[in-house]
Amino acid sequence: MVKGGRINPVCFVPPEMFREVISYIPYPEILVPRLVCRTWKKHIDEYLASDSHAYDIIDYTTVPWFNITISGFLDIFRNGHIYSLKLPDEKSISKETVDHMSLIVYVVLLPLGGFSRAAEYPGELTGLLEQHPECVEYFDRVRKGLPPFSSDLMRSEFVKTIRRLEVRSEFLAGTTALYPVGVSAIFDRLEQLVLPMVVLNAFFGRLLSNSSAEINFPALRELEFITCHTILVHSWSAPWKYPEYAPSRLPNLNVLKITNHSELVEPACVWILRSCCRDVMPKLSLFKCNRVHFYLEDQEIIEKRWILERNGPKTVEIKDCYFEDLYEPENIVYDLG
Amino acid sequence: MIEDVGDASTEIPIPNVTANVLKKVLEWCEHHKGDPIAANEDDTDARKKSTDIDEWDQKFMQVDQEMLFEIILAANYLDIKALLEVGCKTVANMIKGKTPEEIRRTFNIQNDFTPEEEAQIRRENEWAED
Repeated sequence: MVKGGRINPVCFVPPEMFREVISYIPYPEILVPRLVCRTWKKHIDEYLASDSHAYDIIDYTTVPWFNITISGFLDIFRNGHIYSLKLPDEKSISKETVDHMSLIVYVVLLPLGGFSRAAEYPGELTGLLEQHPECVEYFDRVRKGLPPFSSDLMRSEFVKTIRRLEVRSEFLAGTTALYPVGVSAIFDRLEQLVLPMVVLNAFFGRLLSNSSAEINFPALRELEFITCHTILVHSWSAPWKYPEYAPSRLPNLNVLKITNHSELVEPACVWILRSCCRDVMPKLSLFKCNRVHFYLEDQEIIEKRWILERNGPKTVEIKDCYFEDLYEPENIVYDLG
Repeated sequence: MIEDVGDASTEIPIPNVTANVLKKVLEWCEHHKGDPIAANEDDTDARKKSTDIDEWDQKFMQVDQEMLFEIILAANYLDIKALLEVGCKTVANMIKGKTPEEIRRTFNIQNDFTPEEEAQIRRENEWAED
């Protein structure tokens, strides 16, 4: 039984019960009722600062960092429960792992404000802070619930820091909030892919679904996905709708995987092409998409291949364009570069 | 509660629950008597991620706010976790997706922030707003 007293005339239930109610409201939506009255704000702030929402804390200290499953992350981001992430002790992990953790912190946790809880584990994050002291102000602002950037200068400094973090792996761009059940088959098969891909997937998905674009997308736009080899196009709730926020470069992209959303082909191609030629048009020649996988559920997608052939720049090279059945696992090929 | 009392013939006092509310609680219990019981806390946590409420429970909770909160309090007092959960989800759904002003109207709450305080909180929330 939740301990409580009489009905609170303002909060209509005992405070403890009120916290029980708001525990069903995901972060950051829970920030809205902070504006109702002082009492609500007080209780919500206390709730967010307490451990009473411990179910939000994702404890990854006991699993190998590189094997964090995509479904685990999807659960977090789909439900908006990115508020807490308990990180491993930096002393027990390798430099390479720290780099990946940095990526998580900078690219996912911070833009989403999730660092405010993670910051309560200073011993586990000191190493990261020391590596990038220029971001301390960012941490501080996010922890206080303020907008992450106080000025354009601060944002540009932050972006510079992010750019120094080499994104070593491919990424999966798309939604985490609204993806259809059928596509979950893909995620199940992708569970063993390395973390950055997952992180960036969540990055796109949650930022879009939270419409935090004004703050965060400029940072994304200036990222260079140096070693991104593969993009999986699988949902409308994805960056394709926002070509202006495509990453600055995708120079090593060589595989484009498209699921059963035939309507995605064109905007996704626009998005990718923008990434490949944002700075200088001649860089179009860098775009060498060697293979296009169409995972077929909707046969109409076959008819969409003309989009690549007709609308793509002449310099686009497509060596193979073939089709695979989404639901035949042996046909799902992963190109990890 | 029954275990606390020990003797099955002993009356169990429930002074915090009125007859009308108890009637509703019993109606809910009767409908859900065959439901599986959550095995552990993890199940509870998993459920917390969703505010989905089944159709019967939605209709059951279509009562005035006073009754709704009385049911929640009774469920809490009687330690009926599943009913407490439905009640809290119902209230959460009354909050979700609403503006602060709409929430105030829903629950008849007076805004006691000064304009400056309200502006400050809006600035704090700005990054997360649509």
